Parts: sequence; C-alpha cells; structure tokens
Amino acid sequence: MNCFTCSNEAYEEMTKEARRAYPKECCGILFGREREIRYAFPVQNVVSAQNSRRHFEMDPLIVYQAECEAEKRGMEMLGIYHSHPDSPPIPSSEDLAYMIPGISYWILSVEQGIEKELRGYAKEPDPKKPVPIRIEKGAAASCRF
Amino acid sequence: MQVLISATLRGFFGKNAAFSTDADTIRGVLDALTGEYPDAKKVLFEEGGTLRSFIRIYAGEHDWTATEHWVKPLPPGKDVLLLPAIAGGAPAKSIIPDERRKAVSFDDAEIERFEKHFMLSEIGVKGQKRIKTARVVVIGAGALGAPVIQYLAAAGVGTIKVVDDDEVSLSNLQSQVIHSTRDLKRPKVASAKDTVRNINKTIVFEAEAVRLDAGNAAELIDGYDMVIDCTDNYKTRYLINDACGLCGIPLVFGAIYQYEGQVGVFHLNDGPCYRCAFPAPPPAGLVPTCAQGGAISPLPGIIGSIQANEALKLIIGIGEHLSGKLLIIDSLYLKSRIVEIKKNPSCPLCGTHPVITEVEDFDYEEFCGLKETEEEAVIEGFTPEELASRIENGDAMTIVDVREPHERAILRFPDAIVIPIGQLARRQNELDPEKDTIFICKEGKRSILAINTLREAGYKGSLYNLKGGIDAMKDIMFSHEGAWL
Repeated sequence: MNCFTCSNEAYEEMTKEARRAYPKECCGILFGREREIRYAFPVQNVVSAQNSRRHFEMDPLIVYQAECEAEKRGMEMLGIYHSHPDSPPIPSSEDLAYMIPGISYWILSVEQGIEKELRGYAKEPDPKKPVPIRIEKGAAASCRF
Repeated sequence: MQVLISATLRGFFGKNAAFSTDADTIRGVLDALTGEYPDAKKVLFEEGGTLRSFIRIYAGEHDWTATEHWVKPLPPGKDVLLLPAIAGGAPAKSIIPDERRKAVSFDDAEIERFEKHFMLSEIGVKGQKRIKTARVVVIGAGALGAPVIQYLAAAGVGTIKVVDDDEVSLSNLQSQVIHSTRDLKRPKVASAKDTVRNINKTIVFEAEAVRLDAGNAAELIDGYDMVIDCTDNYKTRYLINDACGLCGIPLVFGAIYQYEGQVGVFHLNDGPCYRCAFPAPPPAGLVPTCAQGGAISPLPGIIGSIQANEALKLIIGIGEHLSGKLLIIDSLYLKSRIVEIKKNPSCPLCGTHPVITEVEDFDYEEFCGLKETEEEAVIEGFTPEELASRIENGDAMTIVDVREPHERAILRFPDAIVIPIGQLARRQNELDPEKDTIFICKEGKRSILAINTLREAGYKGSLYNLKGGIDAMKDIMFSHEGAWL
C-alpha cells in the first residue's frame, strides 16, 4: 500500500488539539489530496462531558459543511482523527463499528497530556492493521508504521 | 427533491454529490437510491436490514435517521442529506492504576498456578498483576456470592472482602455451592473464608459478619476497587448503588429470579447507575416480596460466573463490558438479550442535580408501595384464630389465595380459590359481593395489595385480609382435620 504523508502543519494541529483536550478525547477531519494529508480541521466533540474521556462524536452537519468548504478549495476529505487519552493508538470496537470504507482513521495516543504515537487504519482490507504514514517534519522523514 | 450525499459516502453512489428523486418519505428516498445503485444496499444496511451505525439521514437541519421518521412526509423545500456518523471511543481501560500493578511480583508457585492466564495475550503477566493487587468487596455470600467469591479467589484476586450477616441453613445448599453440609448454622462468611483458604491461602479474606445498612455501607466499601452486588433484595441493592456512587466505586450488579437473571455494570467512568436503570422498585404486587420467588439451582452459577467474568475484565482492562447495558438471560428457554441503559439526567444520585449526598435509610415498603398507609389501614382483617373459627363454624365466605404456584405447592390452603393479583380486576365477577371475601398470602402483605387492587377496580363487596398470612396460621389446629398444615 502506498504510504500516506502528513504535513507537519496537520500533525502539529492534531497534537495541539489532543493536548488541549486531554484527559478528554479530541476529534477532527483531515483534508488533502490523494494520500497527502495537508490540513487538520478540529471538530467539537459533541459527546456529553462525562463520557468524553472515552468517546467522541461529531455533528454530521458540521462535517458536511467542512467537506463542502474543502471541496471549493480543491481538497478532499481523506480521514478522521481522534485521540486516545492514556491508551494505545489501537482502534476500539466502537471505532471499528463506525469505520466507513474508503476513509482513513487516525488515532493519536496521548499519555499524561503528551502525544505519543499516531497510527492510521482503514476499513479495507484489514481494519486492525495500521497503514503506513510519513510525517513531513522538515526533510528527514521515513515511511513508518 | 434533492438528496445531497457526503463526500465520505459518494464512492457507493457512483461518486455523485447529489441525486434527484420524487420520493416524499425517507423510506422512498432510500428505496430510490438502492434501486439506482444496488451495490449501495450493502453499505447502507446491515444483513438484518437495519441501517448501519455510521449513516445519518437529515431532512434540512433535522436528524431523521430513526426509522420512526421514515414513513412521515418530508418537509417541503428541504434537501435530504446522507451523512456519515463519525464517532468512536478509546478501548476499555483497567480500573487498577499502573503504579499498583508495577509493585506486584510472582513466585514460582504463582507462575504455575496462573499459567492459563499467562497464555492469554490479553491477560498475560501485566493482567495477572492487576488481578493480584485488586481489592474487591462482595456483598452477600449466598447463591450469587458462591460462584463470584470462588472464581475471584481462583483467578487470584488479592483481597476479597465478604459482607454477610447470615448463617448457613439447609435450604441454602440447593444453590450456595460455597457452603457444605458441615457448615450448617455457621456464619456464611466463616464458611466462605474456609473455602477460599482451600483454594488459595495467600488471598487476604476479610470477613464482615454484619448486615449492610445505610449507616455502614460507605464505610464497608470505601477504599476498595470494586463492589459486586450478590444480594437478594431490592432495598440493599439501592443502598449499595448509592454507596458506590458516592464513593466513586464501580459496581457489578447481578440478580436472579426463578429462571431468569440479570447482570449490569454501574458507576463505571461516570456511566449510568442502578437508579438510572430502575428509578423505583417494581410496581407493588408484580413480584412476590423479596426472596420468595425461588430459583433453579444452576441459575446463580450462570449469573454469578458472568459477574465474576465482568469483574475480571474490568480489573484487567480488556474486552467489552456491561457498563450502560443490562444482560438478561432466560435459562428456561435459553434466550438472552442486552438492553441499553442510558444515564438519566434527572437521576437523584448521578444526574445533573443530584439530591442524594449520603447513603440514607429509606422505608422500602413505602418506597415500593407495600406499606399499610393510613388510608389503607381501613382494610379489615381477621386474625388466624378468627378465620379458623369461621372455617370451623362453616360460615359462608370466599377465600382467595393470591400466592405463587410454587408457594401453593408447598402448602395448599383448603377450599380457597386461586386468582393471581394481576388477574383480580378482570376476574372480579368470580367473587360474590353478598359473601365476605378473605384474601390470603404468605405474610399478609400481598393480600393487602390484592384488596387495594380490587377496591381500585370498583369492587363493592366486603373484603378481609388474613393478618400475618398463612405463616401466622401454621400453628392453628382444626378439630375435623387434625393438623392439616
């Protein structure tokens, strides 16, 4: 499978949001072209305060508005990201149940408020197997799982 | 009308952003879409025909995903939007902090004892360490407590506190497999302690031969990791639930009745509580008082084993668990289902404006409507002696037995007709309003409910209660029958 690339800008945006939301989950949308993630767009987690440490949900209308806006700028929605506070970047059964074929799912683990690892998944062919990603931090970066 | 399709879902609809149809309901729109794009059916619907969890259908700004909206006429001039539900959550997490796990080690004997747990990748050494450092309170060493305590001990839970003030009786041995014949008349906690020591003597067993009440509930559970409710009555369930909520301790609940059992997990990570699921006990008269229902012998073994399994999963931090859900198992017809329990925002304990701030005693009989209130005190009754003399005299009267079939099987009341409380209102024409009607049950409480039920249904004849029920009548001798009871 071709490697996804993630711009430093998108990565910084995701980690900033994840740290700010900790110990709750943050979530958002990733835009770009083909396999190139360029921008991360944080979306409010609409799950009630008491459940937001372990769950996230986005308002479908906000998602639709964001994707229409991105389309006007020639971008497409490539993926969804959310954070796992104090737990590994492995999709939960709930994550797997909500996976849409053709969209990538990115999980950022955050331990004690500091981002630890970003992993991506896709429903097909194997929703539990991480997809490779390269984070474009300056020039030195390699494709990793 | 226009159907606008989110980019996330367009791949299934020929990459089209919009679709025109003259359908005027959601059902019609979905039929038109799947008619045009047959492959999309697999994406939209599960095999059973229910909409997939990641699909949301909006009409204008409003969510019309629920099937009840599907046949309603769509609002004019609004587009239908086919959108993704984007949601998820972090995986289950152990209730035991890492620092405590790291402080645990195993000797050679323990490595051999728990090898089957070490073989499971989800448990392993880390999981077993969590089990060893866990401190669990089991309330009740009876039918449910028997499997729960023994499996927790076998699994290696380091500290088990058992609260029970009862003694072992012969009728306990039908289901309480932690006790045996030689334990008769011993405190249940002492008998349970012996069994646990025989399984693994390194387990710290804390015996509390007291009855859990409002005054001691919080003190008994404070500082422990989890409480497992193995009691057999509604009043204690509410007290345990309140104490767990106020102390912030997760609760594994279990209950059995005849052939059916329930298991749930409450107070986990601000999840719902027992009061969210059951704001009040069952309506008066629906269930015989407390522990009179009986249960088939292996049922508590099934339900208690599931409770122990839930407890271990929470301790290890693996799998799916029953927080926000209630598992209901029917052992007679081998059916089971899981119902969703939502957090109740107006719950007096864990809602947005809680009013319960300490474990408070309450009058259970009043709470569930069993108590004779002043209004109901006008119910006339006979003492066992008075009823016996009326029977001896051959007075004209109707005796109605409202007990459960199994209770009647143990002790039949001669010349009584049988009408369950639930059928009284519609079967009132079987009673003769010219004759006195006397209601009997085991303790004289359900018979009061029966009388109130009939009065509410408009029955005008004279109604009497047997005070103290058949229990109080056991010692009465009848001249013509000898000791018929």
